[in-house]
Amino acid sequence: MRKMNKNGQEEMVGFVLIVVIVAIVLVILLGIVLRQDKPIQTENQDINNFIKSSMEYTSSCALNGQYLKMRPLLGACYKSGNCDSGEKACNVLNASFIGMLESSFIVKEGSNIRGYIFKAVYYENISSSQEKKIIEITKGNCTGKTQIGSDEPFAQDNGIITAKMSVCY
Amino acid sequence: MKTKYYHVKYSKAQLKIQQMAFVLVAIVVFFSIVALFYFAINLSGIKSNYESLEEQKTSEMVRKLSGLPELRWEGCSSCVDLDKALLLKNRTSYKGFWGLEYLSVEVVYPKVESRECDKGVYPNCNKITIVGNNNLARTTSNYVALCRWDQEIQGNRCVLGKINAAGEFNSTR
Repeated sequence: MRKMNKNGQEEMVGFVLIVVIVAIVLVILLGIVLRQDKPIQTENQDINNFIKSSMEYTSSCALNGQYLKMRPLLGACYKSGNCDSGEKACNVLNASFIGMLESSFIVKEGSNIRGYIFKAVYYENISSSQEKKIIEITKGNCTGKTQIGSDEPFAQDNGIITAKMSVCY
Repeated sequence: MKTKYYHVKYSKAQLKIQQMAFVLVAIVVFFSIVALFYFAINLSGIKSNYESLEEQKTSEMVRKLSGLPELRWEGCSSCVDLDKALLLKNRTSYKGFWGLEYLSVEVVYPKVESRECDKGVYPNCNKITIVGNNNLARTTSNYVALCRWDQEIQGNRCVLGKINAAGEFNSTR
């Protein structure tokens, strides 16, 4: 009778163990599936608006007495041009975008934004995948959940220039 | 002190009942996890749909606001005329026109002195409140370019700004 009791207890412990293992496996699977379900990159209208509005910003770089907005300034930087003041167009472009980004996206400990990448690139043609970087500003650690935005491309020489941004939360 | 050990005798039926109880617990746990899985997927879909709708609503409202002739800067869809915004401030004939509880525009970059604009300090200020006061908690905002004629550069100057609004915009405008 004692032996029989022992056998029954062992059977129960085994069964409980199986249930626990199955539950743990299911929870792990659930976690993996839920993580995969979340899109890594989503488009964000706020970022699109930021890029669009920042492109209208009037810089301190004048060419022939005309103060340039960011799109023509990107073109001037691509051609390695200088402003009337003698300052390099790329330096003004860099400083202006850094100022706008730092005023709009606060990356610091405790803030919900972990980092961002802003870049403007030149493509030889629309279908071309080969890009030539004009400017790239990175701050913080940009991995994980990311929201992206971009500006409408505009013509420059024989190609196009476009600006895009990723913000990581 | 001597510890006494008692050997409890289980009948076969009791063991079977215990086994059945464990099976039932396992089934409940299994179905709970399945339900949790199902609801998690469903709720995440609803949440993202809600967020995307809210985002669309905000952006649509801001697009409409910046597109109104009362605020629009000619030749740019995402630009607001700062001079027009200043003129609309405290204008009694526009009371109730917006259908909003709060509407303001503020300069984000370059940094300017943080104070409310009026005709005395403009353009050395960073905020123009057109409707209401700034005590409202639930304001939605979006980026716009704020443009004006600049005497200094003898041309148009646009800066990066934000348009903040609260309440339901009267979309029949």
